[in-house]
Amino acid sequence: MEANITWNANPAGDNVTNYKLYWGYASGTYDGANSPIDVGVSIPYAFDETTPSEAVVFFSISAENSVGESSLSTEEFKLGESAPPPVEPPAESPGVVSEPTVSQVAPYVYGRETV
Amino acid sequence: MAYWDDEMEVGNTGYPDMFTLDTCGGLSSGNDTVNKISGNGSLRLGYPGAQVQVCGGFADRSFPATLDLWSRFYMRLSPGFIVDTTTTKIMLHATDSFLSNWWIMAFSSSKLVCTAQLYPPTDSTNFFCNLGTSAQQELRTSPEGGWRMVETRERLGAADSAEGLIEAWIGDAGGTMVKVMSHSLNNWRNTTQGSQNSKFVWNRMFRQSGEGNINYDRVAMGDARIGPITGGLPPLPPPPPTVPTQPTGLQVT
Repeated sequence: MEANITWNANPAGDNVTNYKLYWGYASGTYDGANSPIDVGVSIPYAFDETTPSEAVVFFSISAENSVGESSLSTEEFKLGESAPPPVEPPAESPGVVSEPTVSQVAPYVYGRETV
Repeated sequence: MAYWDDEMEVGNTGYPDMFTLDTCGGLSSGNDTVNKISGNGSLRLGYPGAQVQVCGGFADRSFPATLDLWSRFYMRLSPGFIVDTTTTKIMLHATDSFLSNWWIMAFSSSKLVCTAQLYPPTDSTNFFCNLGTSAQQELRTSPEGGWRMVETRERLGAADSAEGLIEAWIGDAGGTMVKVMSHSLNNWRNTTQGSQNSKFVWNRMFRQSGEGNINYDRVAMGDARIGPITGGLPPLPPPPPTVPTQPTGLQVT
């Protein structure tokens, strides 16, 4: 898969010496070949790794300086050429009204009606 | 007018033996060519903890007698400097009588404190000018290891008058002077106690009590405000390094 990876450069005060690109085939699991990849400080980065055509590839990036490594960025993904679209979380089905549960039944009020 | 403005350099400081103060406790004093305000270096006094309370050291430098003494000096506490649980002494501005005024840090705090010694030794009493009240600006900087500029004024005034005045200012990180002390004294020169003719005549610098290093540079005395040297305070040291912030804006196309 080839992909163009871009991100916002960190503030100069962070003294970043390297960005690390994490990638893999499942969200949050970055176990792709050579992951993480040291990409230096140039933005963007041209990702080019052999991946199954049906794969969905997930990416995240971190920044490094002389002290250590940042936390990972938010995740993005790219579909392989023949990959199915990612599964969206199920939406609430319209039109079907379930029976009220006990807690949803209005309590009966005892007492006289007023005129 | 400044009587003198001491560069605190090895070989030409006006304080005799300032660089060879008692080295008891294992930490010696010396010339610091890295941390300085001007010239080739500053005076670094080493404070090896509680041991120096009993051995320490000091050095004196005199100036023309005056009723209105102004001082200006730069000082730097090393990162993590521990102020003594009682006092870490800075300077003593002394008169030709028993009257004297001590500039210290007290009770583990790096706030500037003055104690005026008002009475004859037979009835010695120190008067804390400002303890716990007006000294809001600490001599310790944040981040630690920066320089402070300190200015003091002590006006004895006429004998048996209400003209006594003690004031102090500390320079903040931007070089702005913050007034940390203003205290009036009645009868500072006191006929009843025999101090009616007192004048300030010498300054004593101490190496007594604390742990770490204190640097001094450009120590000046005069009879009017001396003010900062040209260029003012050097910048504070950079904050300690941390890991980078989380990258943002990741896009994959």
